[in-house]
Order: sequence, then C-alpha cells, then structure tokens
Amino acid sequence: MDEDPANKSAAPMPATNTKGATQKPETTPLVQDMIGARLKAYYARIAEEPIPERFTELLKQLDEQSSSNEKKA
Amino acid sequence: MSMPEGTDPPKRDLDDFPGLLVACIPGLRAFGITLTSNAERADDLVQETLLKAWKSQKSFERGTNLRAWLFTILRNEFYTQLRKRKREVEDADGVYSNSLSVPGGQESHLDMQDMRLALAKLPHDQREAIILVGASGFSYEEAAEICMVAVGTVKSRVSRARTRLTELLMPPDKSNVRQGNA
Repeated sequence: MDEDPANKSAAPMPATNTKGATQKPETTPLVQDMIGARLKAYYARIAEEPIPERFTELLKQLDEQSSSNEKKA
Repeated sequence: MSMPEGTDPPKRDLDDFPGLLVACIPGLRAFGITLTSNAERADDLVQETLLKAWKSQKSFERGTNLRAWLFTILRNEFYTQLRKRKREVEDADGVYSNSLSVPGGQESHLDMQDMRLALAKLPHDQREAIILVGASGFSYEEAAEICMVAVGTVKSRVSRARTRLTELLMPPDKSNVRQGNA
C-alpha cells in the first residue's frame, strides 16, 4: 500500500473517528470533523439546487419514446 | 419495488424508472460538480449518465443500489471525458472554477468558494473518495465498488484527502486569514 510517509499515524478511519489525538494539530479529529461538516454542507447546498428542466424534459421524452415503441411492438 | 420478473420488465416498473432517476439527479449533480468544479460540464455528465442508465435499464437489477449504479456510470463518463480532454488540452485543475455559479449569501458563498478551490486541488482519486464517503453518504464498501478499487485503498485515499483538505482550509498559520486567493 502506498502510504504517505509524512502521515504514518493517520490510519484509515471513518469521519466520526475520535482516535488519533497524537496527530499534528491541524489534523486532529475535531478539526477534521469541522472540515467534514463543511464538505457535507457544501455538497448539500449543491444538491438543494432545483433540478434543471433539461433533465426532467429528457426523461419525459425518453419515457414517451419507450411507451410509443411499446405500442408499436 | 418488488417485481423480480424475467424477460420484459412490467409496465409499472418502466413507469417507475424515470421517477427513480429524477430522485437521484440532485446527488448526481453534486457529485459531478464536485468532480469537475464546473456546473456546465457536470450537467453534461448527468445528462450522459441519464441517457446511459435509460438505455441499459434492463441490465439494472431491481432492488440493487440504483444510486451507486448511477454514480458509477457518471464516474466512468467523467474519466472518459477527462482522457479525451487531456488529449486535446492539458487542463490545469481549477481552471474552470470561476464558471461555477453557487447561490447563497456572502459569507456562505466564501465558504463554498474555499471548499470548491480546496477540492479542486486534490488529486482525482482522493477527491472522488472523500466526496463519495464524506459527502454522498456511501459506505467505504460502496465507494470501493464505484471506484473499482479495494476497500483499503478507498480508506487510505479518504484519509489522505481529509488531511490535505484540512491543510488547505485550515492552514497552521492562523495570521494568514485571507482565503480564496489561490
């Protein structure tokens, strides 16, 4: 496995991990949780944007196409 | 959603499929935007994803994870396009970061901007790992399947991404509070 030599103590861990307090200050779990929360907020903000019409239109078209194909078949 | 029948999917499932896809669009867009730092390219990825998913909907096993399936398609499409673009122009990460419009107030806008720039600085493999696990809500196992790597690889990528994001967003030098001027 290609471990980052500068960061040997940073074992893989889930977002809410509370171990690893011996890491350098800027990578303590508390700070990383803050970053994790900001990332989630950033992502959620984008996901909250209304769905562009082009997609609902596209799916409507595809749906209509396939049901008219079905009738032909 | 419990119609495990052979041959042609029943009409009800066909009716269902668009609705299921629509429900996944917000997450797909967010994934695309975080991958590309570009709303337009992200929406093209989403469009491709929807088209491909539609065409191969019969191969999708009902009852399995549709969201993970769609994310896998979008990710594959992203790398296909990336390889094409790389051949055309050597794009530096973040070149497109100004073309993404994000709604919101001043302060949160800055916050969003910082996160976007920081994500754009991560290597692709780390970026997708931290987004899938840390924002999209996939398990390590699901992310490993989406990225087609071992679970351990995802874990180490997420870990490194987290460390790198922290360095980028919370520089040890606290006196330097200017942000977003990368």
